[in-house]
Amino acid sequence: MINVVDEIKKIKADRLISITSVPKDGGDTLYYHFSFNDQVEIKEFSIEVPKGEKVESAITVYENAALLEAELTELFGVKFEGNPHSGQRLFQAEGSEGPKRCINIGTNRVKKDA
Amino acid sequence: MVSMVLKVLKNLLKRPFTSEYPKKKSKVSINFRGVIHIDQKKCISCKLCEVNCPTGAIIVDPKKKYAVVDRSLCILCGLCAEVCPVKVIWFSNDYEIAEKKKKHYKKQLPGANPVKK
Amino acid sequence: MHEKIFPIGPQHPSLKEPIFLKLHVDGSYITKAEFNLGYTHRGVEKCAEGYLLDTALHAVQRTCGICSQCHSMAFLNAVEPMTGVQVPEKVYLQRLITAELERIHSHLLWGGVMAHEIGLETLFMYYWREREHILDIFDELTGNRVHHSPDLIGTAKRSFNKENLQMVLEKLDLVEPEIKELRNVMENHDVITSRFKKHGNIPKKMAEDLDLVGPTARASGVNYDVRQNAPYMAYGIKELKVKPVIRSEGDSWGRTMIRCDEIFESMRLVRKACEMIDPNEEVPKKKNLIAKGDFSRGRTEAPRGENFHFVAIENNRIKRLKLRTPTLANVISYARIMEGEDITDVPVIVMSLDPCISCMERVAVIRNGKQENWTSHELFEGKKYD
Repeated sequence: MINVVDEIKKIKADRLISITSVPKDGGDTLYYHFSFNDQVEIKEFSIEVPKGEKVESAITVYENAALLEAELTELFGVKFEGNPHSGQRLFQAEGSEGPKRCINIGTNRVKKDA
Repeated sequence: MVSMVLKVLKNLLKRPFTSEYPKKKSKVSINFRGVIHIDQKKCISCKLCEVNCPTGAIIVDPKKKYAVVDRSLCILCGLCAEVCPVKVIWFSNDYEIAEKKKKHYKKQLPGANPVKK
Repeated sequence: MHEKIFPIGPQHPSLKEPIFLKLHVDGSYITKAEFNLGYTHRGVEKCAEGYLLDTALHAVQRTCGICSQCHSMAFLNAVEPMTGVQVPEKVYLQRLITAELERIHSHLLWGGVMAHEIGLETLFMYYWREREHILDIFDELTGNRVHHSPDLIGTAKRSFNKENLQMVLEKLDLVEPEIKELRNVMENHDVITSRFKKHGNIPKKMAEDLDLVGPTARASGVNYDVRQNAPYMAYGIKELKVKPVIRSEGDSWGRTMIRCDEIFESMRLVRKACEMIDPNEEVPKKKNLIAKGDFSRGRTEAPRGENFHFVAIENNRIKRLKLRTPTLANVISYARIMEGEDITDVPVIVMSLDPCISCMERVAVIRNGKQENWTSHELFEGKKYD
């Protein structure tokens, strides 16, 4: 399990805006976006997550991370530990199978000929 | 409560604001972006419109050598009309685009004159 | 003591977009509330992947019908510094006029739907009659009533001339006295004050802990507006500085009065910007630009709160696009504020937070109980089934 909470507490930001994941070969890169100085500046904090590892949840520091982490679990398959909402299906109906990993087309998009 | 009753009484004496659509057509301004038209005799098949289209709706036919548009994929953004070097693409003011069968969307409309601005 | 579950949605006459609320009910009082989303997920983030910058701008503009200009401006806030282009001041002023007119049209739409929830159909029709004049302005300025899309990277598609600006000022003078009368009705009507006051309370400490945004947070006393704290584009000019409206009640009535007051502040900005534009100047032509760097981010103030875009670029094409809309930040408060309320107060509370569900979601197709993923080529051409 990857520990994130100690480093987040050292940053001492005002607000957590969002959590993004950029997929690449063999895992993900997670970006945490924070805002400082009475909402004027934005800075990022990034970690690398290899495939199949769990990340510690940031819900003890910022409360609104519950919904943002549940969205990442459902669309990309990144697992967070300690989040009571992570089992909640936000985007799928009950009774369907688990999350499928999104296929990344990448930057080689080719248009179909007539 | 009193202000609402006064407002309703004032509106009883005015003309209704709703427009009767199928009997009388609604008016649009000169700048409205409607159905797309192409003058196929003057097209030089340079393929600049095909490269710039976001959805892939306009294609230069390799046999006929002029541009052909699929009206069900067009989002009326205006990039092809801006980029064309001989200015054969323009937008009319017509907003009734729907057809009954899917293959009718590829038929070309008879070309009308462009609207004077 | 029996506990039952009372479902609202996904299809319901009091909601304008589908959302599924599960309410645990004891008699007619609510003890716990949960919600499920995902009924209008369309995959905008996937549609824009792999395209050039101008093409991806057209996909982002069509995320939502009511607030399409604010998504376009947030994407341009992220991408234009990476290309290094110098944008003239007339283009910034044109974008400000379209954005503030869109804020007026969104608040008039919300006012009508709010009156429809409690049964006042006449007030709903009066609000939407004033909205028709604003849509006629958009038809003249940009070419379309919704999904205006007047922007390109570094420039605009057409420039406003003298007749356009004169029409804007005439229509605003026609609409303003009527909106003042409608605001009087919202403030003094007996049915509205007795149903809205003291229901759906959000105290100031809860709004700061959950990081709520927009008029929902400003009705509880939190002083946060992106146009004031981190000004972008033309909002940095001295005469166009914004004074946000702040209240301290925190219930449904306070959120109603804030949206009625913001319309007049937007009208002041539009009138001032129309005086400052030079009507004889032409905007520059479209150029092909190259973006440098890895990633960037931008934010704007939508009619519903703070809008945040994150763009990662590789080889001048888009690698990853992420949108975080203001409704996603506010929807987590549904679970807290409904405890202890009666079932009959639920439509008023749900609509007072102004949800725009189609902005919030990203397509899950379910057929015969199994889930499939479609690529964008299959969506355009139509997949065949046996």
